[in-house]
Amino acid sequence: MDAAVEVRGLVKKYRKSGRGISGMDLDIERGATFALLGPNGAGKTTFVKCLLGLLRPNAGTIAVFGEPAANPSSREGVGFVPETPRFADFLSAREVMRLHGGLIGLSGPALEDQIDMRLEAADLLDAPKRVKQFSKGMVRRLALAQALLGSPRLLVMDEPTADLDPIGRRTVRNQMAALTQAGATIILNSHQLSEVERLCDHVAIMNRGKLLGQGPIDELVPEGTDLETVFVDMVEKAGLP
Amino acid sequence: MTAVLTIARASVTEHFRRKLILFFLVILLLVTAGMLYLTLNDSLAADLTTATIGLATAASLGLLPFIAALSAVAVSMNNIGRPFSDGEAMLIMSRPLTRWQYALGRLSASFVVVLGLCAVSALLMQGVRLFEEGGLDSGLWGHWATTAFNLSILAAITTLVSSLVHAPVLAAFISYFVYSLSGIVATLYLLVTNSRVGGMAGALITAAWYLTPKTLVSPLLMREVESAGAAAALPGSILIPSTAGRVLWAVAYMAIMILLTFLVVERKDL
Repeated sequence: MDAAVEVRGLVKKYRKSGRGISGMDLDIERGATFALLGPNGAGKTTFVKCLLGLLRPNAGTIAVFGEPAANPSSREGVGFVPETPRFADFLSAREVMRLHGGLIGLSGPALEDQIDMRLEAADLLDAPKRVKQFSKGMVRRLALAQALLGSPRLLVMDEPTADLDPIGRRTVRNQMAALTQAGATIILNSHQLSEVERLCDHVAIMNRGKLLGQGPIDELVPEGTDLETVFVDMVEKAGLP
Repeated sequence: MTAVLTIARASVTEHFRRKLILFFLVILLLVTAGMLYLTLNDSLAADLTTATIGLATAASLGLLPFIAALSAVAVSMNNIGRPFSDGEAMLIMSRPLTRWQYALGRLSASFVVVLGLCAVSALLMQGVRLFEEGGLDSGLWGHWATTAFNLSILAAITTLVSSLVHAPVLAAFISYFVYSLSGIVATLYLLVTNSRVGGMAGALITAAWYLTPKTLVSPLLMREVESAGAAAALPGSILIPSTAGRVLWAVAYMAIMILLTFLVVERKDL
């Protein structure tokens, strides 16, 4: 299989809480729109951080397009929208975009054109001068705009629609759809199950650091039921965190 | 290298937008102007003894680096701890760059700000001297070059401490304490040599030599103090000349601080 992400025997334990991920195997196909579901504390964000090389696993391997996640080069062509985005308060939206564009090797007119396009799509062209004056929703939209710089081949989003109004949510959905059409892989962490059903073609459910089930959404969810019912059944059988 | 420059450029932009830097710049310029008044005012020279003016000048020359040192701590105390704890670094580290590149970018920004502040003060001094006396003072360049170098070491210490201690104010206190250790040990040395426990003196002076990041002594300070005949009134540690050995140790000291920062940042989880 041509995998965008390959995870084998992943273990990550936090020293203080003892929680994390305990033995995870997962393949995410190229071009898939993949949702990772689980109750709070299931290990979804820990997985994303290991995938991006932000956390060091205790055991196991993660490969992103064949490159070990510990190598910075594995993050080339990867965009990330964290659960709680934070930017340098005293920079403007354009300066934040220049910083992130510079880090992925963009410069000059090509970068400025991309910045204009992404800021316009995020409705941030007329944003206040400094990020510290932004509302939560504006910060979220800026997080998505920077993640889309350079048209990533893998977009990782952790609760991307939290704090967004209905219009903002629709913008996120449209941009995700455009990226999927362009052949990119999307990994989405979300509690919004209706949104996942609408946007994603593959899903994995995890609890207490373990995968409970994974597969194409139409195989995992039998006819006549919905994702929420399947999710609740699986998590309750495994025991709540 | 591009990643380091990109991080440094964004950090410098952020530093200059903070009002704290503006505050230090104003204070630095006020003290610089005061020192110029002391050294160039003829009526003062007629009223006061040469030794008094020399000592006042030496004190001003000590005050300027002290203010610049506070600014070096202020621009470096948030280099690692805050962005790692509040999540700002997480987004940046999701890009294809190593952690040492991030740390070096942040540290380089501190160096640029410190050098900028020193340059503004030095240029003001030279400008006034050129206008008043018709020539530049090579000692002044040396004074600010050594100050900038010493403060770069302080910025490196503060960046290391900020990677270990997330509270910026605590990081600032610890860094300045570490930076001042040589002075503390040298004072102990003076106390010990004048007391009955003189046996410790050798160990203390050795400790002062190795602990000192503030290794380089301004040639201008040396000249002012010597011309005023005030050397005897100042603690011996201030007048240790900047020998090649001390310069090398200062460079090694800074390199050790930077390497330790890389090691700490490499092991940090985000």
